[in-house]
Amino acid sequence: MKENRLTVSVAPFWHSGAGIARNSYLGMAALLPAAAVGVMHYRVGALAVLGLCIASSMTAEALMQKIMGRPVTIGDGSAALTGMLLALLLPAGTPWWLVVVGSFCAIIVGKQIYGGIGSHPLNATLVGWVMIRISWGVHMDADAALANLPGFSGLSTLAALRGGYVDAVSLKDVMLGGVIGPIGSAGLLVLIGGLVLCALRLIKWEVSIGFLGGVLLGCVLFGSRILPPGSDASVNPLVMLFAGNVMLGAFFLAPDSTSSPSQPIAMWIYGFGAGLLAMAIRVYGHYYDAGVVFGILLVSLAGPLLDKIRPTARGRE
Amino acid sequence: MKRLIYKSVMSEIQEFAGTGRFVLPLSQVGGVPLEACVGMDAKVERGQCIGRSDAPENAFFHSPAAGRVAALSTRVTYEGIAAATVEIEGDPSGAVETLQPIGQDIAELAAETIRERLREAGVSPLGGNGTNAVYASLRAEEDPPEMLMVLCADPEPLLQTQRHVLREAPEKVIEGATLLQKAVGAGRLVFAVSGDQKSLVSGETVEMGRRYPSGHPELLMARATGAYRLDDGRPRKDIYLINAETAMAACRAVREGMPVLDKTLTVGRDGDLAVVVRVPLGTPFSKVFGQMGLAVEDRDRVFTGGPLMGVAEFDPDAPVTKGTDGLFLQKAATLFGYEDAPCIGCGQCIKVCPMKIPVNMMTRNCEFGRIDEALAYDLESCIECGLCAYVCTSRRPLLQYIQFAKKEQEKAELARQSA
Repeated sequence: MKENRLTVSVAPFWHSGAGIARNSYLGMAALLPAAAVGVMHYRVGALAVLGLCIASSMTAEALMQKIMGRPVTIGDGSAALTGMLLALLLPAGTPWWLVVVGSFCAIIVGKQIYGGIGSHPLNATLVGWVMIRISWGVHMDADAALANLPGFSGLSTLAALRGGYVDAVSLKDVMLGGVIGPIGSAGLLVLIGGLVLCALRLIKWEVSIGFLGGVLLGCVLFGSRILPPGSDASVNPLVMLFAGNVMLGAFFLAPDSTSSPSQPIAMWIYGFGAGLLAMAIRVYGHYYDAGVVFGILLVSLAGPLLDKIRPTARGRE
Repeated sequence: MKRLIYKSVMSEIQEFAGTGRFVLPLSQVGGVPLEACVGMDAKVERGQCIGRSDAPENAFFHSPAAGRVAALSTRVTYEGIAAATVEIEGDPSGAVETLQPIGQDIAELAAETIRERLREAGVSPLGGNGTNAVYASLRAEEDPPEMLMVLCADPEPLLQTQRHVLREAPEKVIEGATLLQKAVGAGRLVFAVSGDQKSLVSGETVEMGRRYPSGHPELLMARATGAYRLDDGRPRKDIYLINAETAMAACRAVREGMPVLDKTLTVGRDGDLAVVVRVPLGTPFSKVFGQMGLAVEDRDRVFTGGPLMGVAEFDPDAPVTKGTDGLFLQKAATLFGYEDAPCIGCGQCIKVCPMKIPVNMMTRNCEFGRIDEALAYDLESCIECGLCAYVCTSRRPLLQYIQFAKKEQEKAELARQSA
């Protein structure tokens, strides 16, 4: 008699098709236009940083998982996405060793030592970025890093604003890239990619919208204080919204699945708080270029606490 | 994300019959197993009583075929209980040995008379395997339920069974429901229908939405009463829940003296083929698929019930029972697998949960048997609709974790009581 052995599992027997790999690769695809424009503006230097960042992030993840005796999961694209995001936060021309150190910090200190995806309390990309920003700040200065490239001289957008050179800032450049800044500075393209991800329900859109709301409120409340005292110029809120990685923060860094809360109200507070804090650091802080990064990291610490704000489950009223 | 929309695909109910062996575990939804009242090699008529019980909530069992008893065995049923099983070799198409029809008006009938007839004719809750809401067994209690709810549409997207039964004979469903209302002494009679079925029933209705899980019995009951009564346990004590097919069987038992001999079910290959068929009880699944031209092969998945709350079957020759509402085949190449992966905190499960449970935290605790913590995260509110596992980005077997934790809690409860 021929035995038919059936596959047995628990319900449900259907699945929506969602997966970590799909999320990561779609996330990378959404960043691709911004990355392409970055390469267009900053030439091969940007391509080198992007490639090296992604490669070293994946290497770090595989290496760490091997050492810890865990299954190697670089195929799910999560390390690659971390690498890509880190690259977009770095200026073209960042020294190769700094790129590698940043990637390793992001993957190992930011993610793997906590147990990998799902366990890290902070956004891995931001941890890596902050570590190298604080340790080797000189090399992270976009102005200095881009000095070797023809056609790039002057100040980054935020530095120009803080210096009071409002006329030197062109809104078109801030939205489409090509300013003195990190590779992913084409804010408009990042925004479009992010909106696509929102429409596909792949990211926590509440966090994104809350973040943008926080940035806008900060802009209204104290945005003009970014100018030096006594300046009577005014700052275009759109410049504030697109400059300094706000769009990357809103759609790709703040809604990071692991380090952000998941309850509806908590997501709004988290996003809004991060946005407001980002503006405060940008306007008043010493690391004004890192406002978005520090804003998100600091509010992430409150993430688990925020997740306590949850609705009463049905049947328990 | 693929949305789970209820679709109505109406066709004629096909009759599947044919001589052969019928395997009949003597158990019923929500009841204890019965005892066989026929011996080995005994000759049986179609409609003859073959299993009975003294418990008042248990209905009898009848032979769906005329023939002889080929074997007496024990089978583990859907509920996981070992039940005495009668296997009959015979022909399911001959004349039925019916009971005496009762023609009196419902108003003149005593509740006791109706209950006795339903018991004799084997009217126990039909369907319900894989609805995660327990259908009530017939009972006469001192405090009758406030409401009798009749599910006229199916709780899950792929199933089409109940809506076909209602369309076939709406007047019988309504009369049967009225008989059952009298039998259990329910105050209100409510039909749970989808929007396009409203014209078929008369009386009080509660309408389900277009998207799963709005047809989930627990949600319908909550909408009809305005309250989730989870502290009541399941089944709810204030509602007597049945489906259209049970109501129809009640009507035929009383008016035609017809015992329950067959089951209507939706059969199909997942994705492209689903028809509603009526088969004699005890027909092996492989035979049902065979009559549709489907072959069950190695490593395929066969499940009863719907795609979100159903139960996988390990034996391709398992029989159709009174609880089988749907029977589906998934080919090995189309199966997806769950993974032993960590939660990444994407929050999708929280967005889809109809009970507003913090699913991510609850299931993390369930997974490791931390029952008290899981309870604090609203484990008891869960109606096991399966949506969280359906959307899970990490493809964690969330429903399994939940069911595991609930079982562990039951065990702990039992241990506490016996201590």
